[in-house]
Amino acid sequence: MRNKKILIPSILVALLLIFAFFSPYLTPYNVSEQNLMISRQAPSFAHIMGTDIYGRDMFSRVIAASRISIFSALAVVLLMAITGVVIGIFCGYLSGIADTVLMRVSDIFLAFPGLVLAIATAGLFKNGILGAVIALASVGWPRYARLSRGLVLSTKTSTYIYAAKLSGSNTVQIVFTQILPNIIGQIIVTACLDIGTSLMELAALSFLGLGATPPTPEWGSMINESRSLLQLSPWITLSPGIAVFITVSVFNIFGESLRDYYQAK
Amino acid sequence: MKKQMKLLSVAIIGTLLLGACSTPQKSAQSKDESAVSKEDSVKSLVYGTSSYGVGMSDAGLNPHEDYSGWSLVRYGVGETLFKLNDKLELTPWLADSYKFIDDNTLEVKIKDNINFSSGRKLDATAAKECFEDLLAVHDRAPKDMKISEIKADGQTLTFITTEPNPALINFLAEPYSALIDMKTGVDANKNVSGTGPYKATSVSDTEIDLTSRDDYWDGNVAKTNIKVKSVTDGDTLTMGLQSGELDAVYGLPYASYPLFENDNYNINSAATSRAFFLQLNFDNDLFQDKNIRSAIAMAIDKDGFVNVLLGGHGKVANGPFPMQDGDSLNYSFSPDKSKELLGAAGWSDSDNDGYVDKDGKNFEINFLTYPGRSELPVLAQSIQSNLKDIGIKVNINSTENYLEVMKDSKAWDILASAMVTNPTGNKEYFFDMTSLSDSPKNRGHYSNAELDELAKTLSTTFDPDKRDELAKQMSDILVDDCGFIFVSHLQMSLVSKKNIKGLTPMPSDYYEFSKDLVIE
Amino acid sequence: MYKYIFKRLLSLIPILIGISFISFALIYFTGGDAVAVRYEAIGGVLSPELISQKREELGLNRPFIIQYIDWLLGVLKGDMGISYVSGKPVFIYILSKLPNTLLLSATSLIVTILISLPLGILSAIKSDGIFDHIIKTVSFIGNSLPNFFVALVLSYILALRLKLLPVISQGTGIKSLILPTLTLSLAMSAKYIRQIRALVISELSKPYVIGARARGIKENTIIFFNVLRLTSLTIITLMALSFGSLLGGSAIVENIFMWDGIGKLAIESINLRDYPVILAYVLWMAFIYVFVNLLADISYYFLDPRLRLGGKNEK
Repeated sequence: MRNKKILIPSILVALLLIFAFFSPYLTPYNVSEQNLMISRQAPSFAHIMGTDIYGRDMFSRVIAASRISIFSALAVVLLMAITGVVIGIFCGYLSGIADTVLMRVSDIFLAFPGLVLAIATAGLFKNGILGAVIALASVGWPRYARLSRGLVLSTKTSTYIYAAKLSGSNTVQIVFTQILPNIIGQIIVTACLDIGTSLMELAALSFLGLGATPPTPEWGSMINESRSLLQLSPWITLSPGIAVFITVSVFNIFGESLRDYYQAK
Repeated sequence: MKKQMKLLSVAIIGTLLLGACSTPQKSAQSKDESAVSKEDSVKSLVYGTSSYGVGMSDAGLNPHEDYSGWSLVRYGVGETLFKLNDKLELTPWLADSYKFIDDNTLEVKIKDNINFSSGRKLDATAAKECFEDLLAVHDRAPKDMKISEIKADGQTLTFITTEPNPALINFLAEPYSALIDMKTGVDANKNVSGTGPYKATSVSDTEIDLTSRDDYWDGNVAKTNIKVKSVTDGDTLTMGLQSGELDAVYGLPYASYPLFENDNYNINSAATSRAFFLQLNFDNDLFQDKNIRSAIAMAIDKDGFVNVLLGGHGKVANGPFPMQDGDSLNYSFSPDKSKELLGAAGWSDSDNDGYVDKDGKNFEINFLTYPGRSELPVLAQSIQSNLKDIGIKVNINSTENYLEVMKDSKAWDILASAMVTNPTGNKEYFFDMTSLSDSPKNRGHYSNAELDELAKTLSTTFDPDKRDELAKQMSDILVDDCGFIFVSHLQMSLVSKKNIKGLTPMPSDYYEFSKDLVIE
Repeated sequence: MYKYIFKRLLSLIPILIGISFISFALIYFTGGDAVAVRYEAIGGVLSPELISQKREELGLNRPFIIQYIDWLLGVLKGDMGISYVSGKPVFIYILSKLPNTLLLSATSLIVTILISLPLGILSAIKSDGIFDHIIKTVSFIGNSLPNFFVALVLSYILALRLKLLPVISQGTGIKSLILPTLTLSLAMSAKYIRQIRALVISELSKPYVIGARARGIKENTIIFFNVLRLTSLTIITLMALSFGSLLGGSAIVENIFMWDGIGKLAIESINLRDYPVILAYVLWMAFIYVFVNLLADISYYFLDPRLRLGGKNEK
C-alpha cells in the first residue's frame, strides 16, 4: 500500500525528467522557427497552445522551456544540498572551531530573508539563469548544513559508529559507509520538497528579469515577456504559467509521498 | 496574568516601532491630497507615464540636475530659448531672434512679454543667472556648451564660447537650458518657477500636480489641473487607462494598442529620432568584408519587425535620422541578394546543415543586446530568424550587463542598441557619439577616414543649410558602409480618452503638454 | 529574563556584521561599473574622463576592504551613502519606503492567520471528511502556483474585469492594499492550512486531550483553550520564519501592483545598478528579519513554561 502511494508520483517525476531531458527532440515544431504571417494565433488543432507574436508554436516553446526550467531548479537543489550536506557532516563529525565558525557563517546566511539576497545578486551576473541558480543556492545551503549536522550529531554517538571506530576505519570511511547512508533518506526528502519551490523562485526571478532572458526558453521569462498580451492573446501568457503549475504540482506530490514513505518507515 | 502582561508589552513595543517608522509617510500623504482641491470650472486630468521618476533620472523639475529638465519641459512648466519643431528644426521660443556675432559669440534677444510663474519678468539678467547656475552644477551642460562668459543687457543675452561652437544654439533647446527663476530657486521638493503654461503645485519622485497659469505669455490656457503619475509598469498603465483611473498615458506596451484603437480613445503618434540600430564589431575580421556587412543589412526584415512585432507602432529606418529626404534604399530587404553576397564572400552551405560555412566552419555570430528597452530583445529574436534564413547562426545574449560583456571584444559581434540620434536638432551629435574613430559609443571600432574628415568640417560650420548638407553626406556614407545598420525609429504615442484634445506628441520627446491641451 | 534578552541581543552583533560583510562582498564582486551602466540605461553619454572622474567622486577606485570599512562605519552612524540615481541619502530614502512594505507584510500575515487558522483547525477536526479534502486540494493548488502568476490573474479579474479594486495603488489606501495582500496571503495560507491541520491533529491525539475528553469537557472548549494555546507556539515560529519569505515575495508583488515599498525600490535599483540602495535593501531586510525572529524567540520564551522555568536557552 505504502509502496503504491509512492509509485505513481515516482513514475510521474521520472516521466517529467525524461521528457524535459529529451524535450528539444519532442517539440512538434521547430522552437525558434518564426513565421510572422501566423503571429498571435489562437489555439487550434495545428497549434494547440496557439502561437506567439513571432508566430512560433507555443506548445513547442513550452515543451522546450521545460528543460531549462526543470533542470535549473534541480541544479539549485543539488548545489545547495551537496554544499550544505558536505559542510554539515564535516561540522557535525569534527566539532571544534571549524564547526563553530562554519555554523556562524551559516547563521549569517540564514539571516537573509527568503528571496532577498537572490534578488539583490541574481541580476548582477553576466549569465542570467546561472546567476539566478547560484544566488538561490547560496541562500539555501545553510538549511542543509543545519539539518545534516543535526543528523550527524544524533548518529555520531550510536554504537555502530563506535564499533566502526574501534575496527580502525578512518574518518572519511566512517562518514561514507556509516553516517551518510543513515542520514541520506531525510536529506533526499527535504531536497525533493524543495524542487517545486526552487522552480517557482527561479521563475519568479526570471519574471523580474533577473534570471533567464529571452530568447532563452524559460517559463518565468516567457510569462514576463508576454505579460501585456494577457488581455488580447491570453494563451501566450497562460501556457507557461500552467506548465509551471503542473510541474511544481508533480514535484510537490512526489516530495510529500516520499516524506510520508520515510516517516512511516 | 503576569505572563500575559509581558506578552502584551512585547506586542506594544512592536507596534510602536512600526508606528514610529510610518509617521513621515503619513504627513507626506496628506500634503499630496490637499493639493488636488478642485474648483468648479477647472477640469482635471490624470496622466500616467512610464518616463517620469527616479529610475529615468528625471524626477523633480530642477533642470540643472540630471535629466529633470526633460520633465520640466515635457509637462509644460519650463520652456527653452529655442524649440524643435515637427521637423526637428530649431525655431525661436522664448528667444525673439539670434545671431552669431563671430565664431565665438552668440547673441540672443529674449521676448519682452514673458513672466515666470513667480511673477518676475524674464530678462537677460534672469536668464544669465539661470545659465550660470546650470554651468556651475550640471554634469553635461558645460562640456556641450563650451561657454566662457555670459553677458546680459536688457533683453539681450550674449554667450561667449571658448572655441567655435555652432551647436550652441541647439543646446539652448536641450531641456537643461530651460529658464527658471533663480531668485525663487529650487525648493526642497525640486519644484521651480518656469515660464510655461502650467505651474507645479506639488512635486514628488512619483507625482507632479500641475495647474494652468492664467498669466501665460503665449495666449490662453484652458483651466486645467493635471496630475502626472509615474507608472513604470506598462500593463498597469494599460489597465489604468481601461479602468478610467488614468485619462491619458505615455509608454503603453506595444501589445496594448489594439485595446484602444476604437472610438473611445485618441491615439496620437509621432516618429521620434530614437533609433534602434546595430553596430558591427570590426574587431571581428569577418566584418572587414563589405559583402558580408551588406548581406546582413539586406537580410533584416525591418517591415516585419515594425509592422508585426511592434504592431505598426514604429517607423522603418533607412538612416540614423527620421524623415530623411530621399531615403537611400540601396539595402532594402532581399534575402536572395544576401545569399548571393555571402556566396561572393566565399560562404555557402556545403554540408547542408542549414548554415553557410567556409573552411569547414559554420557562420556563427554573437548578438548582444539589453532588455532595458523592451524592443531590443524582440529585435534580436527577429534578426536571429532573419539571419538563419540566409544561413547565419545567431546566438543572442540579452543582458543589462552588456557593458561588462563587451569588455571582451571576442564575446560579441553585433550590438543592438537604442539611442536618440537627434536630440536637439544637431545631427553632428550622433556622429560624434557613435561613428567617428574616437567616439565614446563607437563600440565596434568602426573607422572611416572620410567620415572623420567631414565631421571636422561640420564642427566648425555655422550655416544651417550647409550643416544639413554635411550631415546628409555623412549619414549616406554611414548607411552605405553597413558598419551601422538602422532598423527602426521609435514612434511616440500618447493615448487618451476621447474628450482630451491637443495632447500631441512631437518628434522630439521633449514636449508633451502645451497650452493647446483641452479637456472637453 | 532581561539577561536572556540581553544575551540574545549580544549574539546578534556578529551576525549583523557578517550580514553586512557578505552583502557588501557579493555586490562588490558581482556588480559591474555602476557609473557606465547608469548613464547607458538612461540613454545618456559620458566621456571616459567624466566617467573616471565620477568613479573617483563616488570613491569607487579604492580597495575593497577600505570601501567596506568606510561603508560599515557610515552605516553605524546611520549613513548608508548616497543613491547614485536619486542623489538622496539612502538611509532616509529606504526608511521612507519601509512603512509601506511593513504594512503590506503585516496585513498579509494577519490575513494569512485569519484564513489558515480556522480552515486548518476545521479540516483537522473533520479530518478525511469532504471539507478536509476540498481544503487539501485547494491549498495544494495554491502551493503550486507562483505568486507573480496569481498576481497577474487576480489583477486582471478583480481590478479590470470586475472593477472591484483600483489597478494603480493610490498611496497606501485600504483599497490599494487588498490585491497585493490577497496575492501574498493566498500562497502563504495554502502552506499554513496544511501545517496547522497537521499540528492540531497531532495535538488532538495527545494524552491530555484524551484525558480532557474523558472528563467530559466539550470538544470546542478543548480546542480553543488547550490545543490552540499550545499550537500557538509553533504558529508564532512559523510566522516569524515566513516573515522572511514575505519580505522577498513582497518585492515581486510590489512591482506588479506598483505598491510603493522597499521591494519595488529594490528591483528598480537593481536594474539601474544603484549599489548603495541595493546594499541598504539587503541590510535592512536582514535586520528586520533577525529582529522579528528575536521577537518570536522572546515571545516563545514567555509562552513556553518549560523554557522559562528550566532556563534552557538552547534553540
